Amino acid sequence: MNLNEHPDDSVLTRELRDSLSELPAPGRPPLAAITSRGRARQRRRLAGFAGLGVTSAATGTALALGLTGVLSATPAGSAAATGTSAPARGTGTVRTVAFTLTRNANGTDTLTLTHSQLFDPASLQQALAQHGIPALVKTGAYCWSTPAAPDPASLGVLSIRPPVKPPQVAVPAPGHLKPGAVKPSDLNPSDRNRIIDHTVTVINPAAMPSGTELFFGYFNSDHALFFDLIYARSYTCSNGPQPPANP
Amino acid sequence: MSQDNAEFVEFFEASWDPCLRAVAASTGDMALAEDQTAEAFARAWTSWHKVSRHPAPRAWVVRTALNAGASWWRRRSKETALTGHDIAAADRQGTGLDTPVLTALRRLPARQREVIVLRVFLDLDVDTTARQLGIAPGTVRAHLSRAMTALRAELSLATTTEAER
Repeated sequence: MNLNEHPDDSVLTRELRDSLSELPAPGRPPLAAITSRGRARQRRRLAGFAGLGVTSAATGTALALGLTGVLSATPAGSAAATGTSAPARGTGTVRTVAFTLTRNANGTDTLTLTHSQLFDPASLQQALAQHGIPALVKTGAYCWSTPAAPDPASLGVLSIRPPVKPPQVAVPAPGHLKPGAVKPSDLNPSDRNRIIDHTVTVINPAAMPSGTELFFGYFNSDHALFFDLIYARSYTCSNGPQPPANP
Repeated sequence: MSQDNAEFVEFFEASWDPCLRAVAASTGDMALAEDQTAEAFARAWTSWHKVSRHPAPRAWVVRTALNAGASWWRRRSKETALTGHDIAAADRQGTGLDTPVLTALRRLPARQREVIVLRVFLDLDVDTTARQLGIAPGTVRAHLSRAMTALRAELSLATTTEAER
Protein backbone atom coordinates (compact mmCIF):
# COMPACT_ATOMS: atom_id res chain seq x y z
CA MET A 1 0.00 0.00 0.00
CA ASN A 2 1.42 3.32 -0.99
CA LEU A 3 -0.10 6.16 0.92
CA ASN A 4 2.83 8.50 0.64
CA GLU A 5 2.31 11.33 -1.77
CA HIS A 6 4.86 13.59 -0.13
CA PRO A 7 8.53 12.63 0.37
CA ASP A 8 8.15 13.03 4.13
CA ASP A 9 4.98 10.94 4.31
CA SER A 10 6.78 7.64 4.73
CA VAL A 11 8.57 9.04 7.77
CA LEU A 12 5.33 10.43 9.11
CA THR A 13 3.48 7.18 8.50
CA ARG A 14 6.19 5.24 10.31
CA GLU A 15 6.13 7.72 13.16
CA LEU A 16 2.37 7.35 13.50
CA ARG A 17 2.57 3.57 13.48
CA ASP A 18 5.47 3.56 15.94
CA SER A 19 3.56 5.81 18.33
CA LEU A 20 0.65 3.41 18.15
CA SER A 21 2.68 0.26 18.68
CA GLU A 22 4.49 1.82 21.63
CA LEU A 23 1.25 2.56 23.45
CA PRO A 24 1.13 0.46 26.61
CA ALA A 25 -2.21 -1.27 26.14
CA PRO A 26 -3.88 -2.63 29.27
CA GLY A 27 -4.61 -6.34 29.32
CA ARG A 28 -7.46 -7.77 27.35
CA PRO A 29 -10.62 -8.16 29.42
CA PRO A 30 -11.99 -11.67 29.93
CA LEU A 31 -14.23 -12.83 27.11
CA ALA A 32 -17.03 -13.38 29.63
CA ALA A 33 -17.04 -9.65 30.39
CA ILE A 34 -17.63 -8.92 26.71
CA THR A 35 -20.32 -11.53 26.21
CA SER A 36 -22.20 -10.59 29.37
CA ARG A 37 -22.12 -6.98 28.25
CA GLY A 38 -23.48 -8.07 24.88
CA ARG A 39 -26.19 -10.12 26.55
CA ALA A 40 -27.21 -7.20 28.72
CA ARG A 41 -27.42 -5.07 25.62
CA GLN A 42 -29.60 -7.66 23.89
CA ARG A 43 -31.91 -7.79 26.89
CA ARG A 44 -32.20 -4.01 27.03
CA ARG A 45 -33.03 -3.90 23.35
CA LEU A 46 -35.55 -6.73 23.59
CA ALA A 47 -37.14 -5.11 26.59
CA GLY A 48 -37.34 -1.83 24.73
CA PHE A 49 -39.00 -3.47 21.73
CA ALA A 50 -41.29 -5.44 23.99
CA GLY A 51 -42.33 -2.32 25.83
CA LEU A 52 -43.61 -0.97 22.58
CA GLY A 53 -44.81 -4.27 21.20
CA VAL A 54 -46.63 -6.06 23.99
CA THR A 55 -49.22 -3.41 24.51
CA SER A 56 -49.95 -3.01 20.82
CA ALA A 57 -50.01 -6.76 20.25
CA ALA A 58 -52.36 -7.41 23.13
CA THR A 59 -54.52 -4.45 22.23
CA GLY A 60 -54.64 -5.67 18.66
CA THR A 61 -55.74 -9.10 19.80
CA ALA A 62 -58.41 -7.61 21.99
CA LEU A 63 -59.75 -5.54 19.15
CA ALA A 64 -59.67 -8.47 16.74
CA LEU A 65 -61.57 -10.73 19.10
CA GLY A 66 -63.91 -8.07 20.35
CA LEU A 67 -63.02 -8.91 23.92
CA THR A 68 -62.86 -6.59 26.84
CA GLY A 69 -60.65 -6.74 29.86
CA VAL A 70 -57.92 -8.45 27.88
CA LEU A 71 -55.25 -6.01 28.86
CA SER A 72 -54.78 -5.01 32.44
CA ALA A 73 -52.01 -3.97 34.73
CA THR A 74 -51.00 -4.18 38.34
CA PRO A 75 -51.32 -1.83 40.04
CA ALA A 76 -54.47 -0.67 38.40
CA GLY A 77 -54.13 2.64 36.71
CA SER A 78 -50.67 2.05 35.31
CA ALA A 79 -49.90 2.75 31.69
CA ALA A 80 -50.77 -0.75 30.55
CA ALA A 81 -54.24 -0.53 32.03
CA THR A 82 -55.16 2.17 29.61
CA GLY A 83 -53.46 0.51 26.67
CA THR A 84 -52.27 3.92 25.52
CA SER A 85 -48.56 3.40 26.10
CA ALA A 86 -46.05 0.76 27.08
CA PRO A 87 -46.02 -0.31 30.72
CA ALA A 88 -42.89 0.35 32.73
CA ARG A 89 -40.25 -2.29 32.07
CA GLY A 90 -40.34 -5.25 34.36
CA THR A 91 -43.36 -4.23 36.34
CA GLY A 92 -47.04 -5.00 36.39
CA THR A 93 -48.97 -7.68 34.60
CA VAL A 94 -49.18 -8.48 30.94
CA ARG A 95 -52.50 -10.10 30.20
CA THR A 96 -53.58 -11.44 26.83
CA VAL A 97 -56.40 -13.80 25.94
CA ALA A 98 -53.96 -16.74 26.01
CA PHE A 99 -51.80 -16.05 29.04
CA THR A 100 -51.06 -13.79 31.97
CA LEU A 101 -47.56 -12.83 33.08
CA THR A 102 -47.24 -11.16 36.46
CA ARG A 103 -44.13 -9.73 38.14
CA ASN A 104 -43.92 -10.84 41.78
CA ALA A 105 -42.44 -8.83 44.62
CA ASN A 106 -39.57 -11.31 45.10
CA GLY A 107 -38.30 -10.85 41.55
CA THR A 108 -39.93 -13.97 40.11
CA ASP A 109 -42.65 -13.94 37.49
CA THR A 110 -45.80 -15.98 37.30
CA LEU A 111 -46.99 -17.25 33.96
CA THR A 112 -50.46 -18.65 33.62
CA LEU A 113 -51.65 -20.19 30.39
CA THR A 114 -55.35 -19.45 30.17
CA HIS A 115 -56.70 -20.06 26.68
CA SER A 116 -53.99 -21.93 24.88
CA GLN A 117 -56.06 -22.24 21.71
CA LEU A 118 -55.48 -18.52 21.22
CA PHE A 119 -51.78 -18.66 22.00
CA ASP A 120 -49.56 -16.16 20.19
CA PRO A 121 -45.83 -16.94 20.57
CA ALA A 122 -44.69 -13.44 19.67
CA SER A 123 -46.79 -11.91 22.46
CA LEU A 124 -45.34 -14.27 25.07
CA GLN A 125 -41.78 -13.70 23.90
CA GLN A 126 -42.28 -9.94 24.07
CA ALA A 127 -43.92 -10.13 27.47
CA LEU A 128 -41.08 -12.25 28.85
CA ALA A 129 -38.50 -9.87 27.42
CA GLN A 130 -40.36 -6.98 28.96
CA HIS A 131 -39.94 -8.68 32.31
CA GLY A 132 -36.22 -9.21 31.67
CA ILE A 133 -36.53 -12.93 30.92
CA PRO A 134 -34.53 -13.97 27.85
CA ALA A 135 -36.68 -16.46 25.98
CA LEU A 136 -37.36 -18.00 22.62
CA VAL A 137 -41.00 -18.88 21.91
CA LYS A 138 -42.10 -20.85 18.87
CA THR A 139 -45.16 -22.67 17.59
CA GLY A 140 -44.89 -26.22 16.32
CA ALA A 141 -41.17 -26.50 17.01
CA TYR A 142 -38.94 -27.76 19.75
CA CYS A 143 -35.47 -26.30 20.33
CA TRP A 144 -32.57 -27.70 22.33
CA SER A 145 -28.85 -27.21 22.80
CA THR A 146 -26.12 -29.80 22.35
CA PRO A 147 -24.64 -30.37 24.83
CA ALA A 148 -27.88 -29.84 26.67
CA ALA A 149 -28.30 -26.89 28.99
CA PRO A 150 -29.14 -27.73 32.60
CA ASP A 151 -32.69 -28.75 33.45
CA PRO A 152 -34.53 -25.50 34.28
CA ALA A 153 -36.71 -27.18 36.88
CA SER A 154 -33.68 -28.61 38.68
CA LEU A 155 -32.09 -25.17 38.84
CA GLY A 156 -35.23 -23.56 40.20
CA VAL A 157 -35.61 -21.48 37.06
CA LEU A 158 -39.07 -22.85 36.51
CA SER A 159 -41.55 -24.49 38.81
CA ILE A 160 -45.10 -25.39 37.98
CA ARG A 161 -47.81 -25.50 40.58
CA PRO A 162 -51.07 -27.36 40.30
CA PRO A 163 -53.81 -25.40 38.62
CA VAL A 164 -56.65 -24.04 40.65
CA LYS A 165 -58.94 -26.50 38.97
CA PRO A 166 -58.31 -29.66 37.00
CA PRO A 167 -56.83 -30.71 34.69
CA GLN A 168 -53.53 -30.32 36.42
CA VAL A 169 -49.96 -31.07 35.63
CA ALA A 170 -46.94 -29.98 37.57
CA VAL A 171 -43.27 -30.13 36.83
CA PRO A 172 -41.60 -29.62 40.17
CA ALA A 173 -38.02 -28.70 40.74
CA PRO A 174 -36.27 -31.17 43.03
CA GLY A 175 -35.62 -29.37 46.26
CA HIS A 176 -37.97 -26.62 45.21
CA LEU A 177 -41.24 -28.39 45.72
CA LYS A 178 -44.06 -26.10 46.73
CA PRO A 179 -46.89 -27.28 48.93
CA GLY A 180 -49.26 -29.21 46.77
CA ALA A 181 -46.87 -29.61 43.90
CA VAL A 182 -46.77 -32.92 42.12
CA LYS A 183 -43.61 -35.02 42.45
CA PRO A 184 -41.69 -35.85 39.27
CA SER A 185 -42.34 -39.53 39.84
CA ASP A 186 -46.07 -38.85 39.76
CA LEU A 187 -45.87 -37.47 36.28
CA ASN A 188 -46.41 -39.27 33.05
CA PRO A 189 -43.20 -38.80 31.01
CA SER A 190 -45.16 -36.97 28.34
CA ASP A 191 -46.26 -34.42 30.95
CA ARG A 192 -42.76 -33.37 31.98
CA ASN A 193 -41.65 -29.93 30.86
CA ARG A 194 -45.22 -29.28 29.77
CA ILE A 195 -47.51 -26.42 30.65
CA ILE A 196 -51.22 -26.72 30.04
CA ASP A 197 -54.15 -24.40 30.61
CA HIS A 198 -54.67 -23.00 34.10
CA THR A 199 -51.27 -24.18 35.30
CA VAL A 200 -49.38 -21.62 37.33
CA THR A 201 -45.72 -21.46 36.35
CA VAL A 202 -43.25 -19.49 38.45
CA ILE A 203 -40.16 -18.29 36.60
CA ASN A 204 -37.06 -17.16 38.45
CA PRO A 205 -34.82 -15.38 35.92
CA ALA A 206 -32.11 -14.84 38.55
CA ALA A 207 -31.48 -18.59 38.57
CA MET A 208 -30.80 -18.76 34.84
CA PRO A 209 -27.16 -19.57 34.08
CA SER A 210 -25.27 -17.01 32.06
CA GLY A 211 -25.71 -17.45 28.32
CA THR A 212 -28.97 -19.36 28.54
CA GLU A 213 -32.51 -18.51 27.66
CA LEU A 214 -35.82 -20.22 28.20
CA PHE A 215 -37.38 -22.00 25.27
CA PHE A 216 -41.15 -22.39 25.00
CA GLY A 217 -42.66 -24.39 22.18
CA TYR A 218 -46.42 -24.42 21.66
CA PHE A 219 -48.08 -27.35 19.97
CA ASN A 220 -51.65 -27.02 18.71
CA SER A 221 -52.21 -30.75 18.90
CA ASP A 222 -51.61 -30.70 22.67
CA HIS A 223 -52.80 -27.19 23.43
CA ALA A 224 -49.71 -27.11 25.64
CA LEU A 225 -46.41 -25.31 26.01
CA PHE A 226 -43.23 -27.36 26.27
CA PHE A 227 -40.24 -25.67 27.84
CA ASP A 228 -36.53 -26.14 28.20
CA LEU A 229 -33.38 -24.19 28.83
CA ILE A 230 -31.13 -23.55 25.83
CA TYR A 231 -27.85 -21.79 25.19
CA ALA A 232 -28.71 -18.56 23.43
CA ARG A 233 -25.75 -18.84 21.05
CA SER A 234 -26.08 -22.50 20.18
CA TYR A 235 -29.29 -24.44 19.72
CA THR A 236 -31.16 -26.49 17.14
CA CYS A 237 -34.88 -26.59 16.42
CA SER A 238 -37.00 -29.35 14.93
CA ASN A 239 -40.54 -29.20 13.64
CA GLY A 240 -41.61 -32.33 15.44
CA PRO A 241 -44.84 -32.28 17.37
CA GLN A 242 -43.03 -33.55 20.46
CA PRO A 243 -39.63 -32.89 21.99
CA PRO A 244 -36.97 -35.19 20.53
CA ALA A 245 -36.42 -38.26 22.66
CA ASN A 246 -32.66 -37.76 22.91
CA PRO A 247 -31.76 -34.27 21.81
CA MET B 1 -18.62 -24.12 21.61
CA SER B 2 -20.22 -23.25 18.29
CA GLN B 3 -18.21 -22.41 15.19
CA ASP B 4 -19.45 -18.80 15.34
CA ASN B 5 -18.36 -18.47 18.93
CA ALA B 6 -14.94 -19.94 18.21
CA GLU B 7 -14.47 -17.48 15.36
CA PHE B 8 -15.46 -14.59 17.57
CA VAL B 9 -13.05 -15.69 20.31
CA GLU B 10 -10.22 -15.85 17.78
CA PHE B 11 -11.09 -12.43 16.42
CA PHE B 12 -11.40 -10.92 19.90
CA GLU B 13 -8.05 -12.29 21.06
CA ALA B 14 -6.21 -11.16 17.93
CA SER B 15 -7.88 -7.77 17.56
CA TRP B 16 -8.31 -6.37 21.06
CA ASP B 17 -4.90 -4.72 21.30
CA PRO B 18 -4.76 -3.08 17.85
CA CYS B 19 -8.36 -1.88 18.13
CA LEU B 20 -7.84 -0.51 21.64
CA ARG B 21 -4.66 1.31 20.60
CA ALA B 22 -6.36 2.85 17.56
CA VAL B 23 -9.29 4.05 19.66
CA ALA B 24 -7.00 5.37 22.43
CA ALA B 25 -4.79 7.21 19.94
CA SER B 26 -7.84 8.84 18.46
CA THR B 27 -9.54 9.78 21.74
CA GLY B 28 -6.47 10.43 23.90
CA ASP B 29 -8.02 8.70 26.91
CA MET B 30 -7.01 5.09 27.59
CA ALA B 31 -9.66 4.38 30.24
CA LEU B 32 -12.40 5.72 28.01
CA ALA B 33 -10.96 3.83 25.04
CA GLU B 34 -11.05 0.59 27.03
CA ASP B 35 -14.71 1.10 27.82
CA GLN B 36 -15.60 2.08 24.26
CA THR B 37 -13.66 -0.81 22.78
CA ALA B 38 -15.28 -3.28 25.17
CA GLU B 39 -18.67 -1.91 24.19
CA ALA B 40 -17.81 -2.25 20.50
CA PHE B 41 -16.68 -5.87 20.95
CA ALA B 42 -19.88 -6.59 22.89
CA ARG B 43 -21.87 -5.24 19.96
CA ALA B 44 -19.73 -7.26 17.56
CA TRP B 45 -20.51 -10.37 19.61
CA THR B 46 -24.26 -9.76 19.46
CA SER B 47 -24.08 -9.13 15.68
CA TRP B 48 -21.29 -11.55 14.86
CA HIS B 49 -23.22 -13.14 11.98
CA LYS B 50 -23.07 -9.71 10.31
CA VAL B 51 -19.68 -8.46 11.56
CA SER B 52 -17.92 -11.70 10.61
CA ARG B 53 -18.88 -11.07 6.98
CA HIS B 54 -17.74 -7.46 7.11
CA PRO B 55 -14.78 -6.75 4.80
CA ALA B 56 -12.83 -5.26 7.73
CA PRO B 57 -14.18 -6.41 11.11
CA ARG B 58 -11.49 -4.49 13.02
CA ALA B 59 -12.52 -1.30 11.27
CA TRP B 60 -16.12 -2.04 12.23
CA VAL B 61 -15.09 -2.36 15.88
CA VAL B 62 -12.98 0.79 15.87
CA ARG B 63 -15.65 2.89 14.21
CA THR B 64 -18.31 1.51 16.55
CA ALA B 65 -16.09 2.32 19.51
CA LEU B 66 -15.45 5.84 18.30
CA ASN B 67 -19.14 6.38 17.63
CA ALA B 68 -19.94 5.06 21.10
CA GLY B 69 -17.41 7.54 22.42
CA ALA B 70 -19.05 10.36 20.52
CA SER B 71 -22.38 9.47 22.12
CA TRP B 72 -20.72 9.26 25.52
CA TRP B 73 -19.03 12.60 25.01
CA ARG B 74 -22.29 14.26 23.92
CA ARG B 75 -24.00 12.96 27.06
CA ARG B 76 -21.10 13.99 29.29
CA SER B 77 -20.80 17.45 27.78
CA LYS B 78 -24.33 18.16 28.90
CA GLU B 79 -23.47 17.19 32.44
CA THR B 80 -19.94 18.46 33.10
CA ALA B 81 -17.94 21.58 32.60
CA LEU B 82 -15.38 21.87 29.82
CA THR B 83 -12.55 21.73 32.34
CA GLY B 84 -12.69 18.00 31.66
CA HIS B 85 -10.38 18.66 28.71
CA ASP B 86 -7.63 19.82 31.07
CA ILE B 87 -8.14 16.83 33.31
CA ALA B 88 -7.91 14.50 30.31
CA ALA B 89 -4.72 16.21 29.11
CA ALA B 90 -3.14 15.78 32.55
CA ASP B 91 -4.21 12.13 32.60
CA ARG B 92 -2.44 11.51 29.29
CA GLN B 93 1.00 12.39 30.62
CA GLY B 94 3.22 9.35 30.68
CA THR B 95 0.68 7.10 28.99
CA GLY B 96 2.24 7.26 25.54
CA LEU B 97 -0.76 9.17 24.31
CA ASP B 98 0.95 12.56 24.65
CA THR B 99 3.56 12.10 21.89
CA PRO B 100 3.71 15.03 19.44
CA VAL B 101 2.41 12.95 16.56
CA LEU B 102 -0.60 11.57 18.45
CA THR B 103 -1.34 14.99 19.92
CA ALA B 104 -1.27 16.40 16.39
CA LEU B 105 -3.49 13.56 15.19
CA ARG B 106 -6.17 14.49 17.70
CA ARG B 107 -6.17 18.08 16.45
CA LEU B 108 -7.25 16.95 12.99
CA PRO B 109 -10.87 17.23 11.89
CA ALA B 110 -12.81 14.08 12.72
CA ARG B 111 -13.04 12.78 9.14
CA GLN B 112 -9.31 13.20 8.49
CA ARG B 113 -8.56 11.48 11.79
CA GLU B 114 -10.83 8.58 10.82
CA VAL B 115 -9.02 8.20 7.51
CA ILE B 116 -5.65 8.07 9.31
CA VAL B 117 -6.96 5.50 11.76
CA LEU B 118 -8.30 3.24 9.01
CA ARG B 119 -5.57 3.73 6.40
CA VAL B 120 -2.48 4.00 8.60
CA PHE B 121 -3.35 2.25 11.85
CA LEU B 122 -5.54 -0.54 10.47
CA ASP B 123 -3.77 -0.69 7.11
CA LEU B 124 -6.95 -0.72 5.03
CA ASP B 125 -6.75 0.05 1.33
CA VAL B 126 -8.43 3.11 -0.16
CA ASP B 127 -11.49 1.26 -1.46
CA THR B 128 -12.20 -0.51 1.84
CA THR B 129 -11.67 2.73 3.75
CA ALA B 130 -14.06 4.47 1.38
CA ARG B 131 -16.72 1.79 1.82
CA GLN B 132 -16.27 1.84 5.56
CA LEU B 133 -16.74 5.60 5.74
CA GLY B 134 -19.39 5.75 3.03
CA ILE B 135 -17.42 8.17 0.89
CA ALA B 136 -15.75 8.01 -2.53
CA PRO B 137 -12.19 6.65 -2.87
CA GLY B 138 -11.10 10.01 -4.24
CA THR B 139 -12.42 11.69 -1.12
CA VAL B 140 -10.41 9.29 1.01
CA ARG B 141 -7.25 10.26 -0.88
CA ALA B 142 -8.08 13.95 -0.47
CA HIS B 143 -8.68 13.58 3.29
CA LEU B 144 -5.47 11.60 3.68
CA SER B 145 -3.46 14.17 1.77
CA ARG B 146 -4.87 17.02 3.84
CA ALA B 147 -4.32 15.10 7.05
CA MET B 148 -0.68 14.38 6.23
CA THR B 149 -0.11 17.99 5.26
CA ALA B 150 -1.67 19.20 8.50
CA LEU B 151 0.34 16.70 10.56
CA ARG B 152 3.61 17.73 8.89
CA ALA B 153 2.83 21.37 9.55
CA GLU B 154 1.85 20.68 13.14
CA LEU B 155 4.93 18.57 13.83
CA SER B 156 7.22 21.06 12.12
CA LEU B 157 5.73 23.81 14.25
CA ALA B 158 6.16 21.72 17.36
CA THR B 159 9.81 21.00 16.46
CA THR B 160 10.51 24.68 15.78
CA THR B 161 8.89 25.74 19.04
CA GLU B 162 10.86 23.14 20.93
CA ALA B 163 14.13 24.30 19.30
CA GLU B 164 13.45 27.95 20.17
CA ARG B 165 13.10 27.20 23.86
